[in-house]
Amino acid sequence: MYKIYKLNLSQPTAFAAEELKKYLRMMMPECGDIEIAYDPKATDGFRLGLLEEFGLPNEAPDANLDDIVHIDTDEKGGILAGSNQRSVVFAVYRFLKENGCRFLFPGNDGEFIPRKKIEPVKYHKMADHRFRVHTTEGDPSLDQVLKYIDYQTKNEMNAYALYQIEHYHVRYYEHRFNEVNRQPEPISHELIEQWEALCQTELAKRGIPFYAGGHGWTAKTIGIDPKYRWEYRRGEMQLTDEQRERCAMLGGVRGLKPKAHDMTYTNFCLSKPELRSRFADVVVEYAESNPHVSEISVTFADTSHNHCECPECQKTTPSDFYVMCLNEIDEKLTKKGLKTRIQPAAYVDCMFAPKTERLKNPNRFTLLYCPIGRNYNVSIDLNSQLPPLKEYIRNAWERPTRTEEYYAHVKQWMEQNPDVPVMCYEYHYWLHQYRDPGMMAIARRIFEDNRSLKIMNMDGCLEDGSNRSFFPNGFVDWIYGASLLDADLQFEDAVEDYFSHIYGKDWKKARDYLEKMSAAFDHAYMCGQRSVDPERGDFYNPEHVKSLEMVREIAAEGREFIKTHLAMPTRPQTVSWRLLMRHTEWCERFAEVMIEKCQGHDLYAMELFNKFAEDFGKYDYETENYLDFGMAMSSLMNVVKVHPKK
Amino acid sequence: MFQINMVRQNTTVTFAAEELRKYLGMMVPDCGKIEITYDPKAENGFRLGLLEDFNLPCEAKDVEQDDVVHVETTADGGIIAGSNPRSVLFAVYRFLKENGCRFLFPGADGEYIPRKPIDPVTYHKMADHRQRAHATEGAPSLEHVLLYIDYQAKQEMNAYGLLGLHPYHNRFYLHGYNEKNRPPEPVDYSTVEQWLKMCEAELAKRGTQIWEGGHEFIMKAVGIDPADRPLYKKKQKTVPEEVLPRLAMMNGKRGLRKNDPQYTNFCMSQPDLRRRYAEVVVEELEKNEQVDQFMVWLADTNNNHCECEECQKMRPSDFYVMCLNEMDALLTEKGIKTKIQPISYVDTMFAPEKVKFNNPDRFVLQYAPISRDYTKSITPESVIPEAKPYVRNNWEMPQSTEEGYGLFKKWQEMYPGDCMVYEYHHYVHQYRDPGMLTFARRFYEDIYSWKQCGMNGCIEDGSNRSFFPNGFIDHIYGATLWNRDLDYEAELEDYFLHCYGPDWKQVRNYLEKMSVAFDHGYMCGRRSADPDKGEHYDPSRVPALQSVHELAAEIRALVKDHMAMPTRPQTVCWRLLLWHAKWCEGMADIMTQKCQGHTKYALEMLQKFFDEIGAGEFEYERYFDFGLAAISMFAIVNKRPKVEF
Repeated sequence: MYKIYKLNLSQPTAFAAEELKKYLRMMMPECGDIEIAYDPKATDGFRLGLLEEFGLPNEAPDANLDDIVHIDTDEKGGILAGSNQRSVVFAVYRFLKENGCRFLFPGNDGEFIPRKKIEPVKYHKMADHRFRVHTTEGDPSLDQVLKYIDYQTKNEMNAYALYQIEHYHVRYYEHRFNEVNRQPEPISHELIEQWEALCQTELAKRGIPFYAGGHGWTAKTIGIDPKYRWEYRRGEMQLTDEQRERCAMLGGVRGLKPKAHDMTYTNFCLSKPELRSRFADVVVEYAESNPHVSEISVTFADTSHNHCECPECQKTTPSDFYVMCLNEIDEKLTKKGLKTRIQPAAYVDCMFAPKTERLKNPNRFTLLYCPIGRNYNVSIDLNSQLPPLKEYIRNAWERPTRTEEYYAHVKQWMEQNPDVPVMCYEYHYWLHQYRDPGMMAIARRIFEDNRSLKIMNMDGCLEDGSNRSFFPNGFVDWIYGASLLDADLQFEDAVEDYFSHIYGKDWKKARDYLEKMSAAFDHAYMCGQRSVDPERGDFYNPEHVKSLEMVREIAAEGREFIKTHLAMPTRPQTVSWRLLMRHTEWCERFAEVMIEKCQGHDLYAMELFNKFAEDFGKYDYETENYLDFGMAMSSLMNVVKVHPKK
Repeated sequence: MFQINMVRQNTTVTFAAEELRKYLGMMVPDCGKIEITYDPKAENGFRLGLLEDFNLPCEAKDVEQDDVVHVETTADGGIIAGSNPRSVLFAVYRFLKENGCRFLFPGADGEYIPRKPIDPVTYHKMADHRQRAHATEGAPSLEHVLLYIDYQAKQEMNAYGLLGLHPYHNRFYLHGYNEKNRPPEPVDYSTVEQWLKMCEAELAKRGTQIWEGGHEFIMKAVGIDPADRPLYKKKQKTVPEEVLPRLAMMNGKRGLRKNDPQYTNFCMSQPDLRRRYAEVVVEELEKNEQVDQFMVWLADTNNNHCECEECQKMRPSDFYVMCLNEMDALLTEKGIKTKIQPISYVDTMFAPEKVKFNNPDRFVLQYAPISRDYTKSITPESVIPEAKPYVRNNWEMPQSTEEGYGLFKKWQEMYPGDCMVYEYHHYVHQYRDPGMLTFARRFYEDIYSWKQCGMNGCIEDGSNRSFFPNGFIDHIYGATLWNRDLDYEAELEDYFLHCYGPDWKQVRNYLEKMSVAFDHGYMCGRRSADPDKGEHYDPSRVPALQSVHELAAEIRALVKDHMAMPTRPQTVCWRLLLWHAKWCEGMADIMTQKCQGHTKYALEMLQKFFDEIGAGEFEYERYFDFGLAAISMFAIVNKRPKVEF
C-alpha cells in the first residue's frame, strides 16, 4: 500500500526511510509491507530527500547549520524534505508527531504510537535556534547515552557533544553514592575510547554532528595524557621537571593546581609563545585526524583562579592570551584546509572579555556563553538591568551570582566579535534540576531561559548535564528541545500535550501533585537563596519546616490516586505513573533530610541523607533509565553537607 | 584510513556497512573518519556486495535461503560478500569475528571488541544448515526481543519466528511468579501487534527471514478473534451460536476445549471450513509480503480432534494436508511465493495415510518433538521403533526421542521436501540443568544428529534470555548450525575464555559440578525410585543436591577476586555467577525436599524462594527469564502424575 523512496543515497536518508517504515507499520499494522527504494525521480509514495532535490526553496542562511523541515503529504505519500541530511530525519519524526506520535522519554517505553490511518500534513519550518544540543555529563552507562542519542534526534536536537566522556562513564560504573547496593565495576580508558567511537557512528547514522574537546587541551600542551587524570590526582603519576615548567605559576610554584593536583584544573603558562603554539598544534592535530568532528570546544583548564602569576603572564589577561591561541588555531586550520569549527568558551576567568585581542575569522568560531554560577531563579528578559562590569583581578575576582552579571560579561565579548555566533552553554541538567524535586519550577526556568536566548542574541543552547533527566517524567528535557525548535511555543500548551500523553486523562492531578512538590521544597530555598542567617549556612531557615512538612501530606495524597493508575492503556503512562509512585518516596525522604538541615541540625541531616541514599539506591536498577542517581545524590549532597562558613 | 564501498544498493547492505563502520571504529578508535559510499565499480576499501557483484561462484542451491559467506580482505580493504543481502551482513560479522571480536550475549555489555589493527582474512563457507532460527517464547519484554534480534544476526542466524506473541509478552509484563516484587503491568493485544511490526522492521533491516503464523489462525478460521482469547479463558465471553457448529466435537459436544480457543480444533471434515482456513492464511499472506515463511498449525495441545462421523474417516494429518494443498493452490493462483511450514506436532505427529502434498516445494515441514527425552540424541546406533497406530483422542505422547522420530520418519517417507526441527531446548528444559553444561552438549549432539535424520535446520521455541549464568547454550546452538564440524571443546574454551578470562577453567569446573549435582536425567523426571510417588521421588539424591551448597560457597569465594575484570563481558559474567550460586542453592534445597516426597513443603519453599530471588530481577532480567524458569520449576515441584502442557 505504501512506498518509500529515497532521493539520495546518504546514510541519514536511509535511516530516515527505515524509521518511517517502522512507525508507519506500527501505526497501521494491517497496512502490509512497505518497500523502500532509491529513486531520484520518484513521483509517488513518500519521497525523502533534500529541499533542493525537490526543487524547493531553502531559506537557511547556512544549510549545514540551520535545520529546515518541509512536509507536504497526503494519505498515500508526499514530500518529506530537509535542508540537510539530518533534517530529512527530523522531517520523518515531525511527520509522525503531526500524525499523533510522541517520543516522550528514551527507550521504547517512552514512545506513544497511535493506531490510526495517516493524515495529510503540511508543515514548513526552520528551527528557531541554530544550536540545539546536549552533552554527555552526569553518570551515564553506555546504554543510556545510546538511548539518549536516539531520543534526542526524535526531538529534533541537532548536535551532541562528547566532551571528555571518560570521567562521566567511570562515575556510573563506580556507582558513586550507591556502593552499598551496587559494587563498583571499573572500566578502562581504552574501553571508553571504543565507546566514543560507537557513539560517533550512532550519531553519524542520523546525520547528527558531534562536538568534541573540552578541558583536556591544556594538559596535552603541558605534555601529559588527559586519560591519566585520576592517576595524577591520586599521586600515582608525577610531572617531570620539563612538564612542571610549562604549568601556570600559582603562589610562586609551578605544577598541578594545588590541593586538587588535577591536570584538568591546571593551566599552562600562557605568556610563553611556544606553549601557545603547542596548544594550537594539539587542537589542529586532533582536528586533522578527526575530520568527522564538526566542532571542537577549545577551553583552558576547568575551575577558576588558576591562571599563571608569572610577571609575563600578569601583563595580559587570560582572555587576550586565549584569543591569541584561537587565532593561531584558525590560521593553522585554514592552512590545512580544515573547516572544523572552534568553540571558545566565555567561562570562569575567560568570562572577562579580552582587552585588546579580537577573533580574526568569525566564520571559524561559535562562542560558548557559560553562566555556571548564575541564579537559576531568574531569566534575562527585556526589563533586565545589566550591572556595570567589574575589573578582572587575576586569581582574586569574585564569581558572579547574578544572571545579569554573567550576561553583561558575554555581551562585551559579543560586542567585540559581532559576527561570531553565540551559543549558551547551560547547566540546568547538572546539579540544578535536583533542587526542584517537583521539577515544575525548573521546567519553567528552562522554558523562560530559552525564550531569553533571542533577547540575548544567542543562536541556541548546549546543555551540560545528565542524559537521564526523566524523573519523575521527562518534561524538563522535552520542553528544552521543543522550545529551542519553536520559540513561540506556549508553556501551558506544552504541559498539557506532554502530561496528557504520559498520564492520560488524569494528567492534571499529576501536574497538581508536582506543582505542590515544587512549591513545598521551594527552588530558591533549595538553591541556597533563602537563608535567614548566612553565617549558619545557605540553607538555614527554620521557618521553612512547615512547608517541608507538607511534603509528607502531598506524597500521601499522591499515592492515593497513583495506586489507581498503575496499569494504564499505554506503556508511557504505565511507566510514568509507577515512577511517580517512587517519586513520592524520594520527596518524602529528602524532605525529612531538609527539615533537619533548615533548622541547622547539619549532622543529623547528613545521617538521614546517607540512610536515604542507601535505601533509595536499592531501586537503582529499576529507576536508572530515568533517574541519574549519582548526579542527583551529588547535587543533594552539596546541599546537605556542612559548608565552611562564608 | 578506512573506506567502505557498497557495490549494491540495498537496505541490508547499507546496514552491514554501518555495522562495519561501527566496529572498525571501535577496534581502531584513532582511525579517523570512515566514509561509506555506494560505488558499484569500487576497487579499493572494504567492498560489500553479493557474490555475483564480484563475479564469484555461488554454491547455494537456493540463494534466498542458503547463506554463503565470502571474505577476502587485507589490512585495509577487500571483498566482504554473501549469497544474499543477509549473508553480506553475516560476512561483516564473520570478518569481525575472524579479527577477534566476539558477540557473547545480547547488548553492548556482551560484546568483546579488541583494540588492534585489522588482520587479513580469507574465509569462505556455506552454512551447514539452511534454517537457523529462534522464536519469541518465554516471558520477554519488547526490549529483550529487540536485543535478541540484534544478537542473533551476529551469530549468523538467518530467521526469526514471531508467532502468537501476546501471551509471551504479557507474561513478562504481568510478572507472574514475581508479583510481590513487581506489580503486574498488563499490555493489550493491540500494543503487541504494534510491537510485532517494530520487530519486523528490525528484522527486515538485517535481511533476517521473518517467519510468522502459529496456532491463532484456527481461531480466525472459525470466527473467533484471537484478541479475545483471554476473555474466553476467563469465561468472560462465550462462543457465539453460529461458531459452535464449526468447532470439533468431543464426547458428542461441540465447544471450546478448556475454555481456550487456542486449544480447540475445527471440524476438519467440513470442506467449507477447510476452505475458510486456507483463505484466512492466504489473506494474511497477501497483506504481509514481508513474511518469508508462514507456520500453519492446528490447535495447540493433543487429543483434541473432532470425533464426528466424517472426521473419523481420516487422520487429522490427512485433513491437514488437504488444507495445506488448498492453501498452496490459492497462493499459486495469486502469485504469492511465501513458503508454508506445516508441523508434525501432537496429533499431526502421526503422518497422513491417504492424502499427499501436491507441491512439496511450497513447504518446509517442521518436526516438533515436544515430549522427547532431552537426555538422549539420535545417533547412527539408535534403534528407531515402528510408529504406533493413531488412536483418535486416546494416544499417548511418545516419551523417547527415538519413538518421536519414528513417527516423523513416516512423514518423510511420503514427503520429499525440505524438513527442519522445531525444538524446545530453550523452553522449560534448559532450567532442568542449572549447570547448563550437560544441556549444552545435548544441543551440540542433537544438531549433529539432525543431518543424519534428513533435517536441514532448526527453529528453537523458547526463551530469548537463555544467558544464565552465561550464553554458551545459545552460542553453541548457532555455532553448530553454522558449522556442524566444529570442535565442541575448542568452542567451549573460546567462549568461556572470553566470558571469564584466564580463570575460565575454574568456572567450567564449577558449572560441570553443578550439572552433575542436579543430574539432568533426574531433573527431567527420568530417575524416579518409585514412579507411584512421582517422577522426582528419589531420596538417594539428597547428598548430591546438598553438595550444591559447597559448590556455591567455592564459587562465591572465587567471584570475589573477579568482580572487576578487564572487559565488560567478563565483569558481567562473573557477577552473574553470584546470582547463579544463589539460584542453585535455592533449587537444591527445594529439590532436596521434593526428592524425599515432601511436595507440599517443597512447594512452600519454592514460593518463598521466588519472592526472595525475584527482588533482584531488575538486575539480571536481561540474562535470565524469570517467568519461564518459574514455570519450569513449578512444573517439577507441583508435578501432576502425567506430562501436561
